[in-house]
Amino acid sequence: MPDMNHETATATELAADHDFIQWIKYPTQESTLYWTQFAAQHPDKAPQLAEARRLVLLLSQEQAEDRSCDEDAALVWAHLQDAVRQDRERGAAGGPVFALWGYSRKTWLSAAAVILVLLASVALLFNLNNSKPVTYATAFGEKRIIQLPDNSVVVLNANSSITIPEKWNTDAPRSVQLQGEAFFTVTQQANGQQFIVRTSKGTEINVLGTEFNVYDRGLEDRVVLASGKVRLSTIQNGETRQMEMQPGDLITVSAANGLSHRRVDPSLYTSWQHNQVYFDNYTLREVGSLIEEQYGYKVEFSGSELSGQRITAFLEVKRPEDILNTLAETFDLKITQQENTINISSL
Amino acid sequence: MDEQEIWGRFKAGSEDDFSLLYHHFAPMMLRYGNRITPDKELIRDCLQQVFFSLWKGRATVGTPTNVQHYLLKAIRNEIIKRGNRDKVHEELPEDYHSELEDSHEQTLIQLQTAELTRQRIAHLLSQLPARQREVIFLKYYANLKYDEIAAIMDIGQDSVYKTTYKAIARLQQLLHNSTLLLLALFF
Repeated sequence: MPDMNHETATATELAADHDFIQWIKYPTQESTLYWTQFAAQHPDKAPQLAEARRLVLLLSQEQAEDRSCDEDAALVWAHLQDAVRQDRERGAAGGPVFALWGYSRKTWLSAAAVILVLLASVALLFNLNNSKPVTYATAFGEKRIIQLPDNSVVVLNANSSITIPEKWNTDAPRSVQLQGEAFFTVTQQANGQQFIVRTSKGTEINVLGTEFNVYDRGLEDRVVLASGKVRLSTIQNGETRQMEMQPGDLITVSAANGLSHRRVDPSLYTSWQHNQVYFDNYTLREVGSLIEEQYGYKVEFSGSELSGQRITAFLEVKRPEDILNTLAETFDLKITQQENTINISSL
Repeated sequence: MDEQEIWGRFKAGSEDDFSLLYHHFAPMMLRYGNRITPDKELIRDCLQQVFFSLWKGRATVGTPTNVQHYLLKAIRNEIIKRGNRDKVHEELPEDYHSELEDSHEQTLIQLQTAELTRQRIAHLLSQLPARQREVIFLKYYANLKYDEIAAIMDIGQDSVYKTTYKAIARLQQLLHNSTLLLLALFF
């Protein structure tokens, strides 16, 4: 298999071939070139290639079934923080250190109860003061993971910010104001406390324990639900509209076109967390906007015909050059940079 | 993110970087745990143990060349060490054919969809023996190389290949059966 001869391979062998899998899941220019050439030179292998592609996609889907993992991860993290803190205190006292938790369900529950009580009393104490909002922000080209007071986790994309109250009241909804783009993993609270994300355009996403991506840039808001259930409400022409979302739903809200709904693979819209971007039939103008939003450059096109060309691609992106090089090679472009401005023209 | 840099700062005592490592890798480790044992509580305890030991031993722990590989192996070892052997997914013979074939077909009829939905695929994949599912998880979800999978599971690379082929062949067979079944439903 490491040196497998692709020319004689069956569909099964191709589907198990590391290079082939990499190409299907994380295509690069190099691998796309290799496999398209291979397909062109071996037209008789077309059925095997198609079958192998289908198998790889099927096999990669097994992740879809267990969504409880993210809630479990938040739960364990809360315990881990306690354990680390207790360990630091004992360490300072010079005492011996033991494992700090038991393995029975009972221990877990009582620890959860203690945390709940602690949080409740903290909330009581701090509500007496006027709590000031706290803002977390990212610079161009930066990503950041933020843990909220309720153990929900926010992955903030570049050039984005969230604002939360300093302390959350336990009986009022948890409320987050977002600008830019973020992926939320929200913890479920015992009392069913709501979690609300508000965008700068007035869209509200109302949540109970779930994972979703919110994009609030340019002219539209985009919300993609990865798992769980959310209710989206938005004000259009002074009228409030509400929609319940199912996992895999993409809802776009814009002043011009109102609400639109589409089914998508959520992983494509949340892959930016792992430095991958997905251009879903984007115009080059839209790709340019993404570079402007996330990296702070100004992107100019020479010729309006050029900026309307479309691209569909899934790319590994660490720096804006990774996107620009792909564009240059795909469309035969000349790309120049002067200070903060990138100019793109046809060769 | 640059794993090696984050790992370095974590070793130097940065709690932020410890948090970053945890949030990046914990969901995958939990998913992997689900392939090894059905006991969710055990998986959570093992996850906590792995990260707590890392935190305690941060000053002396080495820097792995591949952090994901290192952490997957760590949680697997912890589950096997801690796991009551009979709680770990029962090993099925390699030539196992589901004795639940009938009920499997029943479920498919109940799902009653003309195209392959996610639900049906998940159902088909769940029909595979535990060891095949473990290899498939490491290969197609964690995206590891064959030698890395062999190292994590403590088996030879040849067995990993064989298990992968068997899983694919079994999946093809299940797909074939369910397609025939659907045809039978329509005609």
